[in-house]
Amino acid sequence: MTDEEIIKAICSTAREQSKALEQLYRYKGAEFKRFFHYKGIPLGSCEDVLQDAILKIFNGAKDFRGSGGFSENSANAWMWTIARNSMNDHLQLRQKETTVIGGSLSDSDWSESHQAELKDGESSLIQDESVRRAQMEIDFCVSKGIEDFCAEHPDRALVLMMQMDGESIESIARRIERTSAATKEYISQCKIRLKPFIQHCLAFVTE
Amino acid sequence: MKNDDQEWLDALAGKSQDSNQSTQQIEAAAVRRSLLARRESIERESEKLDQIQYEKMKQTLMKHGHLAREPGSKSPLQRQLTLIGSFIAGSISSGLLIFGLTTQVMVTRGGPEINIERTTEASDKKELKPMITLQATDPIALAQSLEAKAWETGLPTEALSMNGEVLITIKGLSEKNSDQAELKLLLGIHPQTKGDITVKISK
Repeated sequence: MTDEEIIKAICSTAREQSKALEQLYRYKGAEFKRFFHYKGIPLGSCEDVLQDAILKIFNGAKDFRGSGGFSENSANAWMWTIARNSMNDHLQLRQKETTVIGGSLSDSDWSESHQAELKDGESSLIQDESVRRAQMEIDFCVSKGIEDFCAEHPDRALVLMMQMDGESIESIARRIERTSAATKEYISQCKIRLKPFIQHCLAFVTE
Repeated sequence: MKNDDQEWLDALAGKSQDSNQSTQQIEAAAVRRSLLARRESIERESEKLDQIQYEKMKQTLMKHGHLAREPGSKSPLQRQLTLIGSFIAGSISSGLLIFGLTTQVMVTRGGPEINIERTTEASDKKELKPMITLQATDPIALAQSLEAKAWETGLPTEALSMNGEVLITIKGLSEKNSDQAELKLLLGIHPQTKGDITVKISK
């Protein structure tokens, strides 16, 4: 089920609504919760923020006038905007209560769990300890930028993942409904958009 | 596309195996590792579905009128109920719907029993007619118990929940003339007032 199909299903029959909810809760929900946690929301509260976001998605689905994908007003981008707004509402509320929100990563759980994920990944293949450690630092820095990028440019992140999976330009072009030339340009633009999120990590490379 | 773009994209796709990687390639390889780790983590997470939270989400959406109950589906809340709505159970335990009984709704909820007298008899009129007003300390729990009891009968039952109301339709035989009959229960739920539940019965 694509993101646009999810929104259509929300406005459809009871059976379709249930399917949409499961897709939304299971798959988008996992992405959203990961992002909320990265932004410093404790795991226990991530579920509340997710439920608020899904409620708003269901509430607003009938008024959604965007398109299918890979544009500024895509269904994916629209859902992410709602998720970010729900998160910001939660953070503002918490800020009023505690006055201690220092931006992202106020909760160290995410850092720890994410470092473990990176250790289990391709970095584990490197034998040299110092090289591996340097790579881990770069990876950790980049991964934080990636979280923000995926939330702000969810469609562009998807296209980069298609490229990461080694899909051909023609295949990506079909999926994003553009010509090959336009797709190449789009991918190039994705790289440019990603740059500000990870540029500072290059300091680790030069070191 | 520029050459350094292509170099970066190749490294992102895992195609660059050079030992002397450029800064571009190192950066792209880091992006690759991060995206892979992120995706794997999300896939792992999406395989686990917290059933309790999921059902809570469904109930919230139903309460706000955004999610209709599927015909024939059994509400998860019904499964949790230990309540007894004896005015339904008593009348249809033999497979018959009996209208117009003077009966009692007995609610037990792990604590003291609450007995609620039914105040009006049902009639054979076809239109929906207000018949019973029930007072309960927990109207939602009571509504759920009645709905659950309807499901437990095994009779063809439909339940529709929308905008804070639950409409239950049970099909069976009328005791008086053995005709097909329907029992409709419309439960108005007003959690903010914690007050009455009105049950309407029609045949």
